[in-house]
Amino acid sequence: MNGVVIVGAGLAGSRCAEALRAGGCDLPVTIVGAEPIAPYERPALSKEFLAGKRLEADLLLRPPGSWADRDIDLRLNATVERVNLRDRFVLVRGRELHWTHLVLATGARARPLPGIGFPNVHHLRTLADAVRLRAAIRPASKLVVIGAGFVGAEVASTAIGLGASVSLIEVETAPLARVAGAEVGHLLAARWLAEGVELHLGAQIERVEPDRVDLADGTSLPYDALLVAIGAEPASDLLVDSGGITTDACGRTGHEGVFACGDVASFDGRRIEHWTSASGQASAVASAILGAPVPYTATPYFWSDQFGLRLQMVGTTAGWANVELDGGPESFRARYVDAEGRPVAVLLGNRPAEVATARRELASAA
Amino acid sequence: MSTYRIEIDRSLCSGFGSCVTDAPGVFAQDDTGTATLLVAETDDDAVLDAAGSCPMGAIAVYDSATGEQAA
Repeated sequence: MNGVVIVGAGLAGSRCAEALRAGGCDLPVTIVGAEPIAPYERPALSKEFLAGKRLEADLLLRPPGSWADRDIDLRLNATVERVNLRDRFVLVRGRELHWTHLVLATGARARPLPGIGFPNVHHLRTLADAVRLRAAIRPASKLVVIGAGFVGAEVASTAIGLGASVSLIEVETAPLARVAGAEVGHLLAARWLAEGVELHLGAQIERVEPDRVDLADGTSLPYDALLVAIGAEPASDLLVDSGGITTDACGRTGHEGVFACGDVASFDGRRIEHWTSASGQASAVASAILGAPVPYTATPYFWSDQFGLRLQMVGTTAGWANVELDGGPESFRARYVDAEGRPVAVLLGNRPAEVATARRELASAA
Repeated sequence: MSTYRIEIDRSLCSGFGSCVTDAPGVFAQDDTGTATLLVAETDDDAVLDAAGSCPMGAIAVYDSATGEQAA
């Protein structure tokens, strides 16, 4: 069989298949997904799903029958073992699946902390991870989170809501400092503290035991469950040893007929792990396969719900020199400008009405 | 000219607001930033752009006559 083979049934892979069909593609389209579930909303895993407010079936991006309805061959529980670029096939359970176009949308995987593998140590990336973590977070149980990034913060927020006690360990002196800067980080920290999180900032981990984390300053943090949330790395090993798969703004790799999009792709020079980027990049890949390439160049955007705050960021803070902060922990706008005073990003906390304005300002500054 | 029926999956909407920019006569945002419909049906082709530009893929547009998904 020849046609489009998409490796990865996440948002990027599934959106690419949909965009191909919507664009009139009449080639066979196959999605090979490693997880046992049809494409679903990963962002909800750390929030509504973990909180028990939404069930597995509520997470599906499309009704189960919609893939077959669109003549998309969705193969779940199937791992691609190898890519053969010369003879144009992928190996799935030892069988060759041939392609004319290959889309690598394998996403990213949670970065592990080397040397710890206790049964009550968790990561959060897949539905299976979330099911396991959900069972471990109970009222009055102790959760320790390593890493005060978005996943760590969202899980901490959900766990507090479920009545667990949460200690958050971060090597930086403010949460989200790498993305948002120290000033905004301190503001977020104030909010988290007020919500009951025990924060250990600027913390060095001395040792991790099966029931506690010891910090270099002598603090010992006992836990029932430990979440390692220190970021994700691209699952790019089908094509390259490490790092993202480099593509142009239409998702084309250096190999004829081979594309990449989503978290695995270093897309037009940037690897961005945002829902919106995965979706937009997938459309660009589909357009290139359809022979009418439309590059994806949109301003990056993401959101995060934590501790009663909806954070929304437009743009990227890379290269920012100054931040103009308006408001406080309940509601704020942080406007990041470069050395010449040009806006590069806006981070909003509970200011949804200002997103459209921020988006327009950044689009016109670009 | 086609008439379109529009659906918003409000659980997916994250308040980006590009739909309001693309088709201001059709979409609005409520106090939480979530997109709402001002009309259930329209003949404004801009709704196709709005569906395409939604970062969340939360907008579906159907041809009112045929029921087929247009975007």
